[in-house]
Amino acid sequence: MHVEADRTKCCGFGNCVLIAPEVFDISDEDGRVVIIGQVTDDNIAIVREAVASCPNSALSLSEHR
Amino acid sequence: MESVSRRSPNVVIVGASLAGLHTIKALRRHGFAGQITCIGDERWPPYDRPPLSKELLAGKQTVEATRLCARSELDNLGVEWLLGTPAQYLDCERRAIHLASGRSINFDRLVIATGASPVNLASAGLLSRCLTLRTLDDAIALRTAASEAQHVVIIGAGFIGLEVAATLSSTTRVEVVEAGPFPLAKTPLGESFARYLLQVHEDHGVTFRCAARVDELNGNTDPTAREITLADGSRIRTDLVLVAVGIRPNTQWLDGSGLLLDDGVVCDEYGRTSVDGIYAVGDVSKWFEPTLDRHVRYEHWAAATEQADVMVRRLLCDDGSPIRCGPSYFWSDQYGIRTQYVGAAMPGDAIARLRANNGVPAAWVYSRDGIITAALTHGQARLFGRLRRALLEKARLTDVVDSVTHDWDLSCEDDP
Repeated sequence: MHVEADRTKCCGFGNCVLIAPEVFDISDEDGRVVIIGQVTDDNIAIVREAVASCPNSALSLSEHR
Repeated sequence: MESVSRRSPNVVIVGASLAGLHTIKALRRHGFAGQITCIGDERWPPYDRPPLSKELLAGKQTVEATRLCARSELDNLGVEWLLGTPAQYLDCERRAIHLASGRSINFDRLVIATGASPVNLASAGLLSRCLTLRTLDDAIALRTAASEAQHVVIIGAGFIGLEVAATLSSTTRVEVVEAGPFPLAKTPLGESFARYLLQVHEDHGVTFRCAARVDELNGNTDPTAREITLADGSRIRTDLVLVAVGIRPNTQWLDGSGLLLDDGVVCDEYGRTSVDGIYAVGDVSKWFEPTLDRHVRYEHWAAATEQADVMVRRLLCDDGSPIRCGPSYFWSDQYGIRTQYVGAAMPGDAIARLRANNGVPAAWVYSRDGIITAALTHGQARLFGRLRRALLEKARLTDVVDSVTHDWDLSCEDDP
């Protein structure tokens, strides 16, 4: 699985960073999400939770890169 | 009232913007399979308002790109859309909405999400054909008018006025007229942040007249020859005037309906109004806030989306995990720098200002009785994340300040 971010939609809420800080971070440059980690078997559950928590549906999980 | 099952026949939503759309999405996400009708006064499908004062106004974003939902996704929601048809009044007894078109719509459950409208100076008895900014049509009109203006006056230094000032300052001369002693004076954010933001604007060439009351606006018959007279007698000649002095909840159509109104539709902490089966969300609603022990009407993007989810779960009688909105969050982008705020600062809260080593302010941390109540950052999104976590943990101010000043190499000073 692979996680993607539509940075134009990110409003900097930061839910994803609170839930899965090893995969998501927020850029100081523009206050928007950046992907800093891979989705693994170990973190897939919390990544799913983080994706679902985005108030503007800026995050998505996909099968392929 | 009987349990609203997920096969309940119909939910009507009045308001086709962010709060209305998020209500629809939450209904479907939580398994509601009944009929949904959405009534909107504007002709546009749901669109996002934050870009209206920024990317769209600057011409960097198209109208199409402001859509909150792709066409296919909208279709998949299975909603009957009645756009361009304002609701005229609500009959609680017959459980019906009457539209301006003459049609009436019956509902089993009703969600009020009619938002708010700008306050215009006309209501203060001043001559006016000034522009205001709330809708996509407003933004298109402002963009067109601004492209022909050499000089723009913005009345009101709230977030909308300041964002427009930032956007237009790259192409035209901008002057901001504010009745308060400094920008954002009606907010509990504090003078220190406001004066810093004012300085940022001045560095970009925007000029300010604070503590200035508008007495008269002339030139209404000829919009190109416009003159503003201030209470102190001074005059400003300009090409274009934008009035950005706040918004008022759109509740006029509910007058006489029997719903409890008080600067918005009064709701409990789940969005339930004073009438069974009727709910309200977003800018038009004034929810009970248990942590503050009072009703609050938020005018924030994030509050609308969170309220929609909480309200829908209550509407569907989902008594699972405790449901509660998180602390209030908003952001504002000006000159490409993001200001972020979370919490519930109140007048009288202590304010600690954190500065970087080069002297530039980075954050303001609000506290009461030593416990952090809110945090504000300017261009420091990662620091914001740390402060937001501290707020959720109800951390002590001294602990928060000790840890972030160390990790971010900041210095802290009390704000007078």
